[in-house]
This record gives sequence, structure tokens and C-alpha cells, in this order.
Amino acid sequence: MIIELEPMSEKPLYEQLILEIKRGIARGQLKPGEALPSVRSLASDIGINMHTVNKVYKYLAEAGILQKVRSGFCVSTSLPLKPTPKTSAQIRQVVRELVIEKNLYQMSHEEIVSLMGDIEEELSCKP
Amino acid sequence: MQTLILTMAFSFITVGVVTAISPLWTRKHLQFGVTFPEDARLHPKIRALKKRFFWANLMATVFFMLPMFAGFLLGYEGEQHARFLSIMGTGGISALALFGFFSYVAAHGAAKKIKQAHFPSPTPSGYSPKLMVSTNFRNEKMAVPTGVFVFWGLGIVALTAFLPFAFWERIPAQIPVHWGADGEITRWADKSIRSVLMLPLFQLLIFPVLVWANHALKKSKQVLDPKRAQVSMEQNQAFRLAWSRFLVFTGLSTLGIFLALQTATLFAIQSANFILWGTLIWMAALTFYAVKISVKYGQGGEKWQPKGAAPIASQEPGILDNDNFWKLGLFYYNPSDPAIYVERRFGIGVTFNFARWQAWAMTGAIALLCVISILIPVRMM
Repeated sequence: MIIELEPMSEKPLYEQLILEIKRGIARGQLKPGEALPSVRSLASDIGINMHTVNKVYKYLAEAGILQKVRSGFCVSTSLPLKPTPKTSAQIRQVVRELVIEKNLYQMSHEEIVSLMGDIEEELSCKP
Repeated sequence: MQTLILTMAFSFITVGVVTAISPLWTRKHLQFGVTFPEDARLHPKIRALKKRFFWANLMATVFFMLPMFAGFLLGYEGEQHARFLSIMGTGGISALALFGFFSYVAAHGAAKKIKQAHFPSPTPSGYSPKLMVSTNFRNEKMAVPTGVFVFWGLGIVALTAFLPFAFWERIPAQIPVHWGADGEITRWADKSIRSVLMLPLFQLLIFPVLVWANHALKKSKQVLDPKRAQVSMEQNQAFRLAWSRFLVFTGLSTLGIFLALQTATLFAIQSANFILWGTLIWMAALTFYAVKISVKYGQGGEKWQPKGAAPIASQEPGILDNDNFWKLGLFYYNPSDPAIYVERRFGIGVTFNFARWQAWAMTGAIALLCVISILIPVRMM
């Protein structure tokens, strides 16, 4: 897959990278069992510290999304992916924030669903 | 004598012409090491700058080459003439290279001024530059494997080292160790294990440099254009593979020349003229091969279109502008970047991130290699 990052964005690269890998797996661009680049190689290509990439891989491994193999990290082969209790709590938190915004600006349910549709389309158009 | 003159003249032309046309095969968004929008390369000021640079370096090539021929006017002959030619030639090429460097620095300064005046940094609202990285970049075939390169290379070195021992009785008591400008033998040494292994030693000094260059090509940071990520990835991979093959060809054929030289040494072939001519023709062939790849692919493969790729016209910004990390647009210095090898900004190829200690270690090692290769024959005389 081709990872897309915005170095100048407010969102830290660490979080962007986690999201991008998740996006790649969700879209099937990173297949189960597929090896990810080595920590050194990816860090070098992006231009960030190796510890940052290592943190990303470790975080995703703990969440059960990646698995550690001898030569590095690869996409988990245990399908379908099930969120860990920690991940479930994080998803709940994200939705909680969305619901607060929805209520604050009195957006309708349909608006949110439509917005989700737009974003799905946007994500599927990305390389 | 002729081969010496031709070799020198050829080196002059290569150095000068390659410098002169370097702006032509640099990436579209770069002018003399400064980031510009892609269509800036059509701007009259930029075109004028490139033209001036081209002609200045072309004329400098002729200018610095001329003193070499003074030997004819001064009536020098034989060894004296050869020495004069070598000194004038080497001095001239060094001067030409320095001229190339300073003319580039001047052009770089001019480009910066043009950018400030005509292309101030675009910051449309909501614009955030993108960085694209492929997870499959080095999985595809994009370089000749180091193992393959080393295997064949060491095979040739082993053959070169083994040859004297296989034919020990046939080798005369004295072997030639230096040839003059006309291919005649000018210095001899006693046949010994040390003297017959001198050439394999040189092979072992030169070969690692090319293996390492191939390695650097593989490891060098990806450069994907956000406007055409997939296409630019294929271009970059094809570019690296082409140059990797070139390096392997150069490396193995260089070792082959040493093998031929060893044969001439051991059997004291009186005139190595055919080796001198052979080397010259080989050098010319290599140069044409390199120029061909450069013209075909440009830097990073940008000039080459993969099959089925339509040129994409997009107004969106492309590759990241990190001008501030490039000193003089030539030397990359970025302490927070773990990459050791990055793509060059001017010309074809790969350069160092000088914020990494490995870059300095390797530069030092190359310098040391040069010194050692000069000292070895001196010690042997």
C-alpha cells in the first residue's frame, strides 16, 4: 500500500501512521500475513525516528492488528479482527466525541450517515 | 601516447559535459537545488539560467583542456611528454571540476533570487503538504542482489589470484609492474607472492566501493510524487534497477580488466598497447551506457513512462519542499532524519545525509582507500 502522511498537520505522525496502517488493512491493501517494512527502513523512508515507528508497530501488535514474527512485523492472520477490550473502549470514546458534536450542533442522524458515506467514498478513491 | 591523450581528453569531456547538461535531467520541481513549482522550468529566467550554465561549462571544458596540448608546442618527447600531459591533464580536470562547482553555486544563488521574486511559497488555505511512502517499495525487483554481485566479483578476484600459482613455473623471474605511455614496460619487480598478488589486492580495494554503491542505491530514501504516487513509484524502481545493473556491469568488467592486466603482467607481454586501447574503448562504452540511462530515466526515473501510464496534469503541489535541509542545494543535513542515503537534488544519483555519522565514516573510508591505492605501488617499488 501507499501510506499517506501530512508532516505539517497538527495530528502527530505517530497517530497518522497508526491510522494509515489500519486503513490499509481495512481496504485489503495490506493482506493478512503480509510483512510490513522493517522499522529502520520505514523510519528512513518517512524521515522520522526509529523509536516512533517501533512504537506504532508495538501498539498495533498489542491491539492484535499486527503480529510480531522473527523478521519483523506482519499483518495479523487471525481473522476476522476482533477489537481488544482496550480498542473497544477507544472506539467508544471516538463515537462519544462524535455524538457530543452532533448534539451540540443539532445535526440529524441522516446527516451523520450521509457524512459517513462521503468519507467512505473519499477513502476508497485514495491510491 | 595516443591512448593517454585520448583518455585525458575523454575524461575532460565527460566531466565538463555531464556538469553542463545536469540541469536537463534533474527532477522537474528542482532548479539548481531549489524547489519550484513544476511549470517554473518554462519560465524565461530559469531557461536563461540553464542556458548560461550550459555554455559556461562547455566553454570551460575547452579552456581547461587546451594547456594539456602545450607539450607538443614545447617539443617534449617520450616520458617527459607523458608526465607533462598527465600533470596538465589532471590539473585541468580538477580545475574544471572546481569551475563546475562554483558555477553551480552561482546558479543556485540566482535560482533562490528568482524563487523569491517570482515564485513565493504557495500556501493556499487548508493546504497541507503530503508525504507518500510505499510499503512495497523494496519488495519488487529494484536492484541486483548484493549476494549475486559479490559472488561473481569474488569469483573473478579468485581467478586473478589463482592464475599466478597455476602457472608459477611459466612466469619469468622478473615481472613488469609499470607501463609507460606507449604501453612499453618501464619497471620490473622480482617474482614473489607479494608482487603477483598486487593486482588482486587492487581488485579488493575497488570492488567493495561498487558493491556499496549498489547497496546505497537500494537503501536510498523513497521519493514518491503525491500527484502520481503509483506511477512515480514504478519510475523510481525502474530507475534504481537500471543503475544497479550498470554498477554490476561496471564492477565485474573492471575486475575483468584487472584479470587481463594480470595475464599481461605474468607473461610479460611486451606491449600492453592492446590493453590500453581496450580500456579506452571500454571507458567510452561505459560512459555511453551511463549517458543512455541518464537520458532515458532522468533523475529518479521521472523521464521514463511506465506502460499504460497517462501523464497526469494536476495543479496540486507535488514533492515536499524541504529546501532548508539542503545546504547550497547540494548537501543534505537533517539530524531528525534517520536515512543515511537520499536522492540527489542536482544531477543523477544518491547522496548522503551528512547529519549521520555513517556518512562521514564512509566518506573517510573512500578517501583512505584512495590513499592506500597510491601507497601500495609506491611501497612495492
